[in-house]
Amino acid sequence: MPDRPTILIVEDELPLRRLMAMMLERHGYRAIQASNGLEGLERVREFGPPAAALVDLMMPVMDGEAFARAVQESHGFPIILVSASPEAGEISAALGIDFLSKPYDFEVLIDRLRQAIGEAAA
Amino acid sequence: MESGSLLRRVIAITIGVAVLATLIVLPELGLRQIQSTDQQAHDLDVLLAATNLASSEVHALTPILRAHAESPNSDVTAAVDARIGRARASLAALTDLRPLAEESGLRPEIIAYMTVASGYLDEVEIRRDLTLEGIPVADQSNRPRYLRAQGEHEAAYQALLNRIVNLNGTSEGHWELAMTRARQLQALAIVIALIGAGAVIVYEWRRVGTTFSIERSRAEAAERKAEHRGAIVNLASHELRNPLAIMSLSAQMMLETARSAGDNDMELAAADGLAAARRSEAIVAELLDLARLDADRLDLDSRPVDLQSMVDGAIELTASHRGPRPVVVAGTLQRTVVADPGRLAIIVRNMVDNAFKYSPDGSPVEIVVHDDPAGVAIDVADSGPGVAPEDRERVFNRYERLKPTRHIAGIGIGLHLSRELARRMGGDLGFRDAEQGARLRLVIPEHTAPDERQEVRKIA
Repeated sequence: MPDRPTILIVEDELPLRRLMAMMLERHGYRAIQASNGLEGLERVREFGPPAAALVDLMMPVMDGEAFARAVQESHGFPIILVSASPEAGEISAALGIDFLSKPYDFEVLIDRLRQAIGEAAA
Repeated sequence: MESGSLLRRVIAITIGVAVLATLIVLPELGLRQIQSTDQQAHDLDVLLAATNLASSEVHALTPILRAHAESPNSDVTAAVDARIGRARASLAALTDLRPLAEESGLRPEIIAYMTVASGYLDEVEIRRDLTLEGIPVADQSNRPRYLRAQGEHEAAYQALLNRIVNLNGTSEGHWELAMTRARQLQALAIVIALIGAGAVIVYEWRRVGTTFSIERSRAEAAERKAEHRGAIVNLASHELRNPLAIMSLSAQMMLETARSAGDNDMELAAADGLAAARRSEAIVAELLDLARLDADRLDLDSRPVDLQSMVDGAIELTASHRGPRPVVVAGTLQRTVVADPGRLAIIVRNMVDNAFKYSPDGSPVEIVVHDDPAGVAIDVADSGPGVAPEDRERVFNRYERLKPTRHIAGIGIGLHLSRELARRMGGDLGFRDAEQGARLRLVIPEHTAPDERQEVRKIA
């Protein structure tokens, strides 16, 4: 289905990444996974810019903040920072991106994703 | 701290007593010294008189002996013997004075006087014998017998002179000596007092120094501890939240699957799992806020918040693990307040959880919403044992648990944190009088302007 919006999941914790991907697929999205920021950028090069990205903050190799800055400089697709870190709120505010604290209700996540994609499309 | 203060007091009292005793004893000692030297002067006068008597007897012999040398006769010899007899009597008087002299502490002096007097007598006796032997007076001084006796007498006399020079031989001298002794004692007292004061100063300085360094190291330790605690809480919350996110998402996925498959048991199990994850997350959020309060780094993100959804969420979460309860709402929850949503959720959840926790299973919980000068007041009332008026402030202390409720699980941070959060958001939290059970009231500022965010959403 070509009209399925692609969501990039950048998350170092495998079970969580896999679960998010499964849930997104169940809700009609196409999920692409990356275990850190650098891998995320590779996936973007490989598959093209996604409709939105759900990005963890604390990750090895390249963290969520660096990934978000790199995206903002090049592609500019919407990013939702999804983190358990207490500093994530401040960082997302500084970057001007949306933030969702872990753990979260999937319904809220979907709501935020729709909002982000809708705003990006508008 | 306690023993140090006791030691300090003991040292201060000891030094005080020592200085006071010295000041009292000093004049007494001076007086005794003066009295003693007065007595000595008196004794000395007696001794001098006795010695002078003996001496005068001896001197009186000289012209007699000279006359005898010119024309020897028995009368002169008898006169000499008589004089010697009187001199010996004087010596006996001196001997009688010996106990008095010993008592007065003048033993060396009296011995010196006696030796001198005895020397005179010996000298006179030798002269008498030499005269009787027909040796001229001029030649008598060269005789070895006389020379030896004179030498002994001279030495004794010199020793006596030395002692008299020391005593100065006059009352004035004794007074001076007494004053000198008194001044020496005074100087000693001053030295003792200075040493005491010095000891106190050194002790106090060291104590203050020690206290300062202890306090500094305590402050440093506390700072390190706070940093460690903050780091641990941050790490723990992050490390807990990731697995919680997995549990939560798994439960949500299972819930969806169970619902679409019509598996009621699975649905219930998944819902319980999800509620447990949410409750854990709520506890993590509270711990994190507690750590932020400690570090004074609690930043609030206040915005208009819908009271209804806040209360519904709290009831749903509480009922998920404490079981359902009839909740009666008086007044309307359709109000918007200004609060940090996450923090208001903590407060309302704690209020509802307290009502559920401390009242009998199945008993109703009442929520009353009404106006307050400071905003909106939300009362959550239960039919439990309530909180005695004298305990109503104490329960807001951190880790405070009231005795009758200690059998119910809890660590005593919920109310403490809730009140702190409410006050920082411009509201307050406290117990109110209730006919039955406990009535916890939250006052929170009300949002008066139209909610722009909701308006925007409606348009979008």
